[in-house]
Amino acid sequence: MPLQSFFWIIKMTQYDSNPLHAHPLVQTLIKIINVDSHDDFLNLLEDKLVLASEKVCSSAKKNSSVKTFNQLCDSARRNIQDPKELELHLELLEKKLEDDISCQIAHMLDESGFIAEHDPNHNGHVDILVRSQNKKFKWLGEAKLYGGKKYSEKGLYQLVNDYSLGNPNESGGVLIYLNSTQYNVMEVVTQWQEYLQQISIDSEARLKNFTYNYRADYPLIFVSQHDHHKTGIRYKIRHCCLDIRIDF
Amino acid sequence: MNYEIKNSYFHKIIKAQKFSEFSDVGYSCFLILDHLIVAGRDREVSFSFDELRENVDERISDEDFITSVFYLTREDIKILEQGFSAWKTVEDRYVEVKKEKVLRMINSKQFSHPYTGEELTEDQFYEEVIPFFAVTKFFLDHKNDTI
Repeated sequence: MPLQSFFWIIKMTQYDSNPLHAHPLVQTLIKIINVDSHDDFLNLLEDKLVLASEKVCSSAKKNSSVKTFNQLCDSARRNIQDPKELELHLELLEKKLEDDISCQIAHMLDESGFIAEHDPNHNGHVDILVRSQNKKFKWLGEAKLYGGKKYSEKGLYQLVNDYSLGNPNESGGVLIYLNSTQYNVMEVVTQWQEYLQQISIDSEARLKNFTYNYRADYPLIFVSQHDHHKTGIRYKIRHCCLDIRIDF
Repeated sequence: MNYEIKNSYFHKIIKAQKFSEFSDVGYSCFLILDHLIVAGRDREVSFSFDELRENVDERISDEDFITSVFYLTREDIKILEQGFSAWKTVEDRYVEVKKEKVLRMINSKQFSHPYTGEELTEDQFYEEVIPFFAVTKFFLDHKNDTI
C-alpha cells in the first residue's frame, strides 16, 4: 500500500556526513521489519535470540532473580511441612522465575524489529510468541527450568501438542533455563538431543521422521525437524540452554 | 534516566509498551516524540537520522537511538513512517525511491542503484539507498490529543 500520495522533501545533500545511515543495525532492522521469507525470518531471529540470551545470562538482574528464587525455595523447604503443599509452592516459584527470564527475552526481541509477546494466547499460553511485523511468520518459544530430560519434555509436549498449529510459516523453540544442575551446557544439550532421538521412535511423542542439526558456528544450539502431526509439514524447533546459574 | 511522562495520547501509547530493562529505547522514543510534537513538521518534509539524533540525549547509545526511530514506525505506534531515497544526479538531490522497489531488491537479494541501474553489492546498496522518516497523518491528527 503506498504510504502517501505526495513526494517527500528529503532534507539531505550528497555531502551529508551521516554515519548513522551506515550503521549495521539500520540494515538489520530494515531486513527484520520487511522480512518476506520464513528462512530469513528464522535467520534474523536466531541472531537476536542469541544476543538476548547472552544479555539475560550475564545480567545483574538475572543474578538477583535467581538469588531471590533460591532463597524463597530454601525458606519454603524449611517452613512448609506438607509435601504436597511444598511441591505446589516450589512449582509456583519455578514458574515465576521462568516467566521473569522469558519476559526479558520477549521484551528484547520486541525492540529488535519483531513483534514479541510474553505469555500470549496461542492455542494456550505459550511463553514467548514472536511474529514478523507483517504477521506472516511466527515462532513459538516454550521455556522450562532444567529439571532433567523428562521435565524439559513437558515443555516440548506443550509446544508440539498444544500451541503449534504446524502451519508452513510457523516454527518453535525449546528454551531450557539452567539454574541448578552441575552438568555443563554441552552435556545438557547433548543429553536432550539424544533423548529426543530416542523418544521420537514412539509414535505418541509425535516427532515423526525426527532429524536434527547443530549450528556449525555455535554447537550449543541445535534445530530439529519432524513431520507435524496436524499438517504433515516439516516443523522446525530450535533447542537451546540459557545458563542462569550464579556462582557456578 | 529521569523523564516525566507527559499526558498526550502518544506518550500514553509509548508508556504502555514493554521495553527491555537492558536498553534506553523507551526513553529515546519519548525524546523523539517530544521533538516531533514541537517540530511542527508537515508530512511532506522528512527527518534524517542526524536531525532526530540531535534531539536525543547523548548518553543514549546509537543502537538504542536507531532502534527507537524504527520502533516509532510500528503499525501499533504509527508516529513515523519510513521511506527510502537515493541520489539522482540529473536532479542533483536525493529523491524518494518507491518502497516496493527497494523491498523487492532486499527480498530477492538482487541489488542495483534505483536510478542508475548499476549493479551493487548488498553493502553498497545500503550505502546508496538511504532510509528517511516522516511523521504520519495519524500523528498529525492526534499529536495534541490528551488522555
